This record gives sequence, structure tokens and C-alpha cells, in this order.
Amino acid sequence: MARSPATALLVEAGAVLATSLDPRTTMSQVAKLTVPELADLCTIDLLARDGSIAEAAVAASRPGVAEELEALRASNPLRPDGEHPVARVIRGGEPELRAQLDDATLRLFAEGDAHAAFMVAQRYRSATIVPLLARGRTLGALSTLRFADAKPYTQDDLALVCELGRRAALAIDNALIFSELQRIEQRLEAVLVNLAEAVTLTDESGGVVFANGAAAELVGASSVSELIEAPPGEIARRLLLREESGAEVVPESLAGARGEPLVVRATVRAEGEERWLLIRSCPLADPETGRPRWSLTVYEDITEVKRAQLAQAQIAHTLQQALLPSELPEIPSVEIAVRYTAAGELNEAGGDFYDVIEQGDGRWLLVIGDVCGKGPRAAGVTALARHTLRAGALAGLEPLAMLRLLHEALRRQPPGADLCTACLVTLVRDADRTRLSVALAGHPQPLLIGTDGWARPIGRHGTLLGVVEPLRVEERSATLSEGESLLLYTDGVAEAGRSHGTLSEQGLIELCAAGRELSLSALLASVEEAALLRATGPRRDDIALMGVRLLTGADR
Amino acid sequence: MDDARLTIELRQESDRAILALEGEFDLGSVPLLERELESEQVRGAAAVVLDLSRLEFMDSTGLRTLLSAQASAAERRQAFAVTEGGEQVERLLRVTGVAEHLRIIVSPDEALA
Repeated sequence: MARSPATALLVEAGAVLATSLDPRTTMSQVAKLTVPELADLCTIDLLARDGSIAEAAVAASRPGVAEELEALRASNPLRPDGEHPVARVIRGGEPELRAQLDDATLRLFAEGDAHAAFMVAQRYRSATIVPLLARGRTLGALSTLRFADAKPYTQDDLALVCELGRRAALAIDNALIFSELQRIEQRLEAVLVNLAEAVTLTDESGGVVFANGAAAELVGASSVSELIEAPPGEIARRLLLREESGAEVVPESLAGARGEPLVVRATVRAEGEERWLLIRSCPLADPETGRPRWSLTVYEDITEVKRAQLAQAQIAHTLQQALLPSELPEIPSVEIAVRYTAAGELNEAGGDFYDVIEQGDGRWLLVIGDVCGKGPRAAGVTALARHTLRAGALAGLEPLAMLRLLHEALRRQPPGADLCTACLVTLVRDADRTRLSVALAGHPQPLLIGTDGWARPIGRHGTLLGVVEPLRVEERSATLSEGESLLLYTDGVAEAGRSHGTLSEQGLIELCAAGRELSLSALLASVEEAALLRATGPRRDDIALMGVRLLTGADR
Repeated sequence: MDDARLTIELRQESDRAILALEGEFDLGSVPLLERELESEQVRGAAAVVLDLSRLEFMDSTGLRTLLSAQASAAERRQAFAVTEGGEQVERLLRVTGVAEHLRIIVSPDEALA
């Protein structure tokens, strides 16, 4: 059985529509299919994103007609709210059959006199206008026209154009989606290619599917294609990766599972140059099977950051050593213990300080203090405080004079109000007992702990150093008997993590009572643990603890 | 980091600027008060009062800011006073000897002769 012309047209359309994914080509081919058997003129108009209507394809049986109409559409575009059937069909989504057109009707539809004159001159006589509907959206309209004495369109013709429109719409939509995808892909590729970070896409065997210029440079390849054309495992052959612990990492194995970013030391094998990299890797699934097929890896060069970090840690460590004594002198018959925890790793050079200074003639000075603030400035002030006190002690100054000296030194600092608290305890060893003299400048009172664990604060509160005038400080005496201890501490002990309850002076006294059987260092450890337990907030203070215990005859 | 742990309410009573602090006054929240202290209302007042009655915590940076506020007020010839704070605040002011250097009043409206 011979195919009807309609079936032949649709079959041909199917073939044409399957060949192109370029929207322009697709539309132009659809328009041409209808000419001349079905139409003298065929137009495809599309609804743009901004709501306007733009001609997308025109085909005509007579030469020059298509060009003339294109020029008209460009100079007099169809108004979306106008009377032209194309605008109406796009608005309503319903096909229209205009079997018989007369000049009066044409003038009604026209966008301007030139358009009207064109339609009348071409002798538009019959038309079908069908919407291009795809995935629930109106893309535009397909129109067919017959001129002059041609046969008027029938309902059968309209049904055929509708079917053609339906197929064309789907193909146009696919082509539009494809071209949008291509644009996205091009944009993505442009981003990846120009990214400062090295990016690679590798397949299961470790073969490089994609790499950007930064990646080629990173591994010492002369070009991206050199990487892509190399046999699988090329990145591992060029780049030796080691974790901070020294364990070797195989680049291709990174991609297994989406994990935490990895900091590695990378050596370009050919050059021996070492760099620090932050590597993020994630598996990419095959869209068809859903199974992981590629690994996307981003290598960020953090060498500068890492070097700065190491230098900073080195500076902080050096400062810390300047702030705290590397070892404490020995006092006969007296046990000394200290514990120090800086607030947070970046604040290693914190604001707390302590010292023990031998002054001769059986006299020793115990120092603990706290500088307001954190970071480099506080570290500087801490160094000033510690060394001023130490110089004063070595010069033979009395504790109150030492405090005044530090007060004046702080007041001569650049503006910014540097505050510091300090507690100075002079310990004088006599034959059978030990005398203590306590001077406080804005610092919590030390606790004198009896052999039964009962603790009491000693000393009188004085003004903190550096800001407030006049300075009021005084010394108070006490006696340290055999087996008794003195606990000096900084604010951080009592205030660490106040949001979760504070270890107040009363809390400390209770800890001392509970720890009466403990060795001095074990007692300090328990106090520190209790303070840290409460120190869960991000802004906790430094914690410094110093304990001295007068040994009993049995312990000596 | 949560810096909203301090709220400051500024109110004007005749020629007195009263700053009521509530919450925690520390390294993270010090800038909030510093900003308020530089406002026209505070700078133009005859007296500045920090109401600490609802302040739960102050650290040494807070203390430093409080002392700077007192010094700025003195430079501008403004009267300066604070009301008594919570337990920790009161202890900090006492231990550091700052309490002796502050005009501490019971109510923010109390007359400052």
C-alpha cells in the first residue's frame, strides 16, 4: 500500500528531527519540509524568555519571500498581546485554522502598513497556526500559509500540521535543552580550565580523563594532553604524596569515598620540589548506571599558608619559652609543682605567667600573673611583666616596690590600657618553719592548704597594675608549716567556661579538701582537670597553677 | 561564634545616659559597648551610668573597657558611675581593686552629686 502524503511527511519529519541537536538547524529543516507540498510559506516563531515573540525559521516556495518576511519580523515584531494569529495561538495554546483569508482580515492582523502590504501582495489565502507545546510549555507557534489560488486548508490539514508541530516541538525542546547543557558545560569547563586550583578527573584505572592547566603544572607535565594521553597511573608516577604522618598516599585511591579534605606533602618526583597540598576528592557516578565511575580531585596549594603556620608556631613556641621558665630552681625541703594550659592552640603565647626566683639568704620569690587579652600584644606585655618582676627581684627590690615598678612600666606602654594582675609570694626558709609574705595586685588570693586539706585564702586584695591610680597594694604574712601547701592560680582556673558554671574559689577549696591525700602534682592535676572540664566555651582563659608544699621530716 | 551574649540598652534620663548591660561582657562583646560609648547620646550626656545589675560575667577585657569608659568620661568632664553587678562581676571588681576606684550606686537613677 502506498503511503499517503501526510504519512510520508511525518516519516520524513521523524528522520529530519532525529538528526540535529542544534535548535536553529532543527527549526529550519521542519519549516522546509512543508514547502511546497503543504505550504507556500512556513514560519516558526518562538516565545522568548522576556515574553516577546521572535521569528526563528522561515521557508517559502518562491525566492525572496522568506528574506522579506524575516526583515519584516525584525523591524515589526509580533506583539505578544496583538491580534496576529501567531500571538493568539501562543497565548491560548489552541490551534487555529484560517481556511479563507481576505485582505481586510490580513490588515487587521498586520503589525504596521509594510506588513499588511506584504501579506496582501503575497496574496495570503489560507493558513493553519499550531502551538509548539513540549513538556507542558508553549515554545512558540508553527504556521503554514497558502497563497493566491491554492486549495484552502481543511481540518485534515490542520490535524497534520498539529502532529508535525507536536513532533517538532519535542525536537526543538530537546535541542534547546541540549544547547543549554552545552553552554553550561562550556562555562564549567572555562571555570575549571582557568581555576588556580589543580583539578583532575580520573577513571577507575587511574587514567586522566580531564585535567586543567594548573594540574599539569602541579605534576610537572608540559601540557594537559601529555597527562591525558599517558597510560593510567600517571599522576602517581609524577607526584609523591605523603600525609603529615609520613604515610604515602596514592592519588588515585583518594577518590574512593567522599571524605574529609586531606593535607599532604607533595613532591614532584622529577624535580624534588616539595609543596603542601589540600586535597579534596569525590566520586562521580556514571549517570546511566549510577555506579561510581570517575573521581574528581581538587588540589589546592597551601604551601604558603603552611609555611606561615609553621613559622607562627615557631614564634609562639619561642615566645612561650621566654614567658615561662624552662626549669624551676630547687628550694630545700620544698616541693614545687606547676601546670599551665594556654587557651586554644593559636594562643600558645597566652597571657598567664609564673616564675620562681632565688633571692639568696634563704629567700625565694614565687610569681604568678595574668595579662589582659590574648595574642601577640598580650604576649609582649606578658614578657614585659615577667622580666620587669625578675629584674626587680634580682636587684633586691621588695615585693611592693617590684609591683610599683611593673605598674609604672605598664603605664609607659603605648596607649591601649594594658592591664596585668600579679601575686608575689616571698618564701623565707627558717630552721623549723617557713614564713610567707603575700602581695596581691588585682590577683585572686592564693590558698593555704592545711595537712587536713582545709584551705583558706591568704593576702589582701590590691589594685591591678597598669591603669588605676593610686596603686594600693600591701603585704600580709602567713606561716607554712610542715606538710602544708600553698596554691597559686590565675583567673582562668576560676572562670574557665563560665557559661557552664564556674569553678569558684569555694569550688577550689572543696577540691583541696577532697584531695588532701593527693601528692602536690596530683592535686594540681585534679584542679586543672576540674577547670578544663568547665572550660568548654571557645573563649576560655589561660590556666596557670603553681603549688608549693613544705615537706615533712619523713619526706625529706 | 556567638557574640550576642551581651545586650546593651541605652536610655536617656534627663541629662544622664544609662547603658544597661545584660549577659556576658568579654573579649567578644567588648566592641558592642565601645560602639555605644562613642554614640552622640553618650558623648553629649552630663553623666554616664553603666547599669551592671543584669551582667552575669565580665572578664579582664571587659574590665579594661570599663576603666577606659571611666577615663573618657573624666576627660569629657562627665560624671561616671556603675551599679552593682552579679556575683562574678562584683568579685572581679573587688579582687582587682577596681571597686575602690569606681562610683558604685544602688539604682541607675540615683543622684550623682
